[in-house]
Amino acid sequence: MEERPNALLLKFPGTNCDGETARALETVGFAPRVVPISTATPDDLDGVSLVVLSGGFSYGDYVMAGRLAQLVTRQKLGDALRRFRDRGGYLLGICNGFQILTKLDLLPHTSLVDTISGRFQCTWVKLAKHGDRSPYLKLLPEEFELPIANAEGRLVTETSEQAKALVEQEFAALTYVDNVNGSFEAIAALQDETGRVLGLMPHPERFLYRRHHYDPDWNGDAEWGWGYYFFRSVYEAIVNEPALAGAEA
Amino acid sequence: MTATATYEIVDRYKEPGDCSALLYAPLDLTLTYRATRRYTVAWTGGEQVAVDAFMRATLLDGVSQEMHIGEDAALSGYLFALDYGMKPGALDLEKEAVLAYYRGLAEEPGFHLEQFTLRHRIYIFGDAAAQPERFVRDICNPAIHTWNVIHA
Amino acid sequence: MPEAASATSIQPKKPTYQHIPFLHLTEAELVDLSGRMKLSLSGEDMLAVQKIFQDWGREPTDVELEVIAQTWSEHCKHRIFGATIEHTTASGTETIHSLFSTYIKGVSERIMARKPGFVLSAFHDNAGFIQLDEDKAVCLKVETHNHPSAIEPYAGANTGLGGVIRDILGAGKGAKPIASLDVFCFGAPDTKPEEIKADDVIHPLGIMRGVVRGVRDYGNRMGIPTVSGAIQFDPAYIYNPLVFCGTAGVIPIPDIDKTMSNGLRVIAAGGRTGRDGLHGATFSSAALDTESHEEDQQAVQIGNPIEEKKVSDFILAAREEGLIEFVTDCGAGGFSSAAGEMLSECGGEIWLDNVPLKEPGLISWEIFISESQERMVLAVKEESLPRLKELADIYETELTELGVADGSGILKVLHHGETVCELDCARLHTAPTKHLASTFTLTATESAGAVTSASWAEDLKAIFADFAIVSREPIIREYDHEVQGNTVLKPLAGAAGDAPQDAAVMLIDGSERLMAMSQSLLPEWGKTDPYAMGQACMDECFRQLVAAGANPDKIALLDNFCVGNPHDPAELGALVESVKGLADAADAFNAPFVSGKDSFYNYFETSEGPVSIPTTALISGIGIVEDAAHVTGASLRRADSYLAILGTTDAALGGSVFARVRGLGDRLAVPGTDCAAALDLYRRYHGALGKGLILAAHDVSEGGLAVALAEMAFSGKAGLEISLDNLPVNGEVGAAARLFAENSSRLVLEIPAEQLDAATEHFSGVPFAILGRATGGHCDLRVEWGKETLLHTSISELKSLWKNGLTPYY
Repeated sequence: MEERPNALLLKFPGTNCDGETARALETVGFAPRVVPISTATPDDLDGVSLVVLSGGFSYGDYVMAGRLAQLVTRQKLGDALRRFRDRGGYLLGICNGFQILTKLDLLPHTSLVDTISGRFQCTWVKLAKHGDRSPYLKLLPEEFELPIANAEGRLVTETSEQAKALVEQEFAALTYVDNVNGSFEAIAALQDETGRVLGLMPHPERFLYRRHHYDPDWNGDAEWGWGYYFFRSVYEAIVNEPALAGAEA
Repeated sequence: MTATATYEIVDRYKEPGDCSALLYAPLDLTLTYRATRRYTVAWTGGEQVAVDAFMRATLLDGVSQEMHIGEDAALSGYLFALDYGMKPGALDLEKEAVLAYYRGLAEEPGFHLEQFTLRHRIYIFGDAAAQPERFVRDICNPAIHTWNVIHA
Repeated sequence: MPEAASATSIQPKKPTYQHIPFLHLTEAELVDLSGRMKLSLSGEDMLAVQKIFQDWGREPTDVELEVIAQTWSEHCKHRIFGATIEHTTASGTETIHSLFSTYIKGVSERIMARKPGFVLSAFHDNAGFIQLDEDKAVCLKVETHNHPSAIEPYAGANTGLGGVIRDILGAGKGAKPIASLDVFCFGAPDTKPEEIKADDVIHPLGIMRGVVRGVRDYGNRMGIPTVSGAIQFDPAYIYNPLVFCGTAGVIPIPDIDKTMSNGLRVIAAGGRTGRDGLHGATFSSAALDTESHEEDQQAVQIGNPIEEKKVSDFILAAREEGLIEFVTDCGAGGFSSAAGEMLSECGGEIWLDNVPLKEPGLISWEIFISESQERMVLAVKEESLPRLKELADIYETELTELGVADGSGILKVLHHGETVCELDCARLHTAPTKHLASTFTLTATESAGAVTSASWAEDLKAIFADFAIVSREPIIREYDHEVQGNTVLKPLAGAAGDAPQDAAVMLIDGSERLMAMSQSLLPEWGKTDPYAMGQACMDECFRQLVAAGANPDKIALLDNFCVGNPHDPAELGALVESVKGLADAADAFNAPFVSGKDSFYNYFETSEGPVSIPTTALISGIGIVEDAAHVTGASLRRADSYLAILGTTDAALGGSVFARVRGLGDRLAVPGTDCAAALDLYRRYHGALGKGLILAAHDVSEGGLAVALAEMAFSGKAGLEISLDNLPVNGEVGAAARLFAENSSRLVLEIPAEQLDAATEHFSGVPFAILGRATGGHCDLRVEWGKETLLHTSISELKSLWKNGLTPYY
């Protein structure tokens, strides 16, 4: 019998993409569970293979995107997420989740700030893959499309050299083919040394089905949208590591 | 004894903007602006270093922003600046978010917060003929804001 | 009383309510009192209130007067739609006993009787529901928030959307909001400041920016995709901008019906109560003037979307666990109208001491009628309370025990141990019927004659650069229209992802069926022929839904009216005519209204006299798409397909963008709509979708056929070669009308080359013609009529005009 690996979605007040993200995880084979931060404890991570911080506006993102969620996560979970990563867990931040992850020191030192146009941008973007470290991108082609929807999606580093280094050292897992928001080195997604921690601004959960694409004639051969292959990639990575699937902390 | 301090947050990566984006009709003058946020804190029962640390942890993004501590303006070379914020009774969502976080802390962060105010500041640069009235009219709304103009 | 009452035991010494000497006041004194208390009640109303208390033999409390004023306000009671109107036209005078009962509800009830099982709830709940499939129903509600948006655009729009989302959360036992629409009417963004003839009026550009950002910041944070909308620009809206916000929801069918019963606990959830929310309902029943921008600042609140998101998560979780017996939103009138609605038959007690306050010192009536945002009121079984409190903690929202239903039939409000309000609910709903007079004279009867042009291409470019037509893309992209991951027909789509569509189509989790959503408004038509406007709006909304894939027999519509001064017989006459147009169309389309709203007093006293808006009807609708294969966009998909038109083109140019751009005057006759014939066409079209005969379809509306063709080609897939020789026309129709007429009931279809014969066969017997082909040979729009080439113009040039028209302003 196939064991479904457990995926845990942390939900903050204002997180609003947890439903469709859970749907995508379920579709590719995970057993997803949404846990509101008010009830979250480090014990919730036991037996979990993948932790997802999904999109939305945690606490309204009023001071800056992800700041209060970062502070509250530290209060509630301490360094449990780091320990989870260290024991081989997978950690994914999408959009607001990425914004939170950059502040939890689980990804290279960066920040996501207002887009260069100063606007919220809800549009589809073409993305390019870099390197082959990422277990989330294995089933995806070198270039593919996903939708974005954010006002604070411009990735910046303290110096421009740091951004270059992120690309050279393959911390930048994805870049925008057209740099829509002024990100340094057009970086759209960042990973850690292991590849198991990934943050990305685009929303793979919004391109689960083929008919999610804006063009009704899109890529007539593909059975699913690219988002399916994104989540399916990490699913396969996890089930192919029997030590991790269903592992206790 | 209540002490106060002002913290001004400047975005390092935001280029000066064209002032016509702030106004309802085109400008004859060449003007640019930069926007910052100024937080004024009044506290008791602690040292300023504790307040500075709290503000840095809560308000500042170390990668993309700088924090200027003090009453004086963080930027220079401007013609005038417009400070505005929510008037008493009007909901300030950012302020409420910070206060809710502060109130939810398990223990006080080394001081007791008495008052916390947030003002947006817009610095105007360029042609010296510029007057603040249009900026006030088009940016501030007496239904929710109070404001004051700071001359350089 | 529950324990929470003792938590606020430090009570002010000052009394929190008072009895008002009332029984012996003269009418003049009553009117004066209404003004001082800002009750917005007329002398007649005040006398009726006095009569109630004379019958009871006691003076009212201030709380009771405030409750009655809220209950009887235009916003809550829709007394103009319920009024007796003497309506005079060239054919005589008739007496209409309630526009609502006669034309909206009456017609809809007849339609519902003709299609049993389709409408599951209409007119009595916060939104009407129609059946989606065996298990689920969908609903839509649209509200206006005009006056607050005029004073503070950001906050006004943001609380407008927040309010209509709560309507959905309060529909049935709590529907899940799944999509929003927004429709605005503004002055042109390039209005010269010196053209605004009043102080303290916010420039249309400021209104537009503020309103859009208000919708953006609320909708995006709530995680509800804003998928559909429209903007009208007209100088008449400079002083009275219109802001319509709508939200659709989905619910399991068994959770639609809700009933109050003796013993249920009334609880409030969400935000706290403060002075910020005072006198909004009565405020929207009064016209704006310059002073209102200074005096009534309290009416403008700022929304807190995260507060609403938390209460939304709480309500949906509670409903799924079966913990909710009744729920309603706390909108206009605050607790008084929410609790009043819940307890109107059953009766019960409300305990103001328990209400969590934003600031200390609110007196009784302030707490009871405050319209502070983000609050919901529920009725639950006592044994459900512990689990509800847990859920409130999990989702970090505040839950308050507000009262109890007791079967007494009396609404009793307690504060500090005293009864501050005790009203027999039955008497609350006996507001006097208003008596009004209206007139209508049709002035737009002229024909444009033979319109010539030096260059039809230049006319087309002028139309594409007009604010009526230009792409709303800069605004649409500020809205998250894809959150929830269910938007399959997006507001901008086609091969390039940026071409306009007729309707949005949403997947519904857990269903094989989808929901289409669209809307129409044509105020330009209404300026001269409001009846024609009413019909055409219905046709356009209906047609857009059908074009996108909805079954024409499974469409429900909503009517929202905005009117200037209802005491001006001509303005009221325009309303009457438009309502009749709507009602006749609904009857012909067999499409019921399931909800509606109205907003009056959209006029403004400028330094040069009063300015009213044109009577504006917004028709919005939802339709059931039964098969994902029926979802049809409005963008060209192939370079070898055929283009065809369904429907007849009329010579009338009244109300068209062409007539306005070319300055043809405002007395041109507006085209009529044959809704019964249209329904036949739409059913035929829907049948063609089922057979796979249609690749794309676009409705012919603002800008006419030439604009529709070019917009289809904005996908960038091909050029178009079109001949208008076989265009089905009504009488003598010249080049101008063939290209630019905006009469109803027409669709441009893209037909795959291999289905040409099948399609021609399928559409035999109805007005249908093949107009030409898509071609990979060039990227131009070529239109010929007889020997004349009317248009030969670059599609990318048109697209660039269209796409960049709004970018300098937003």
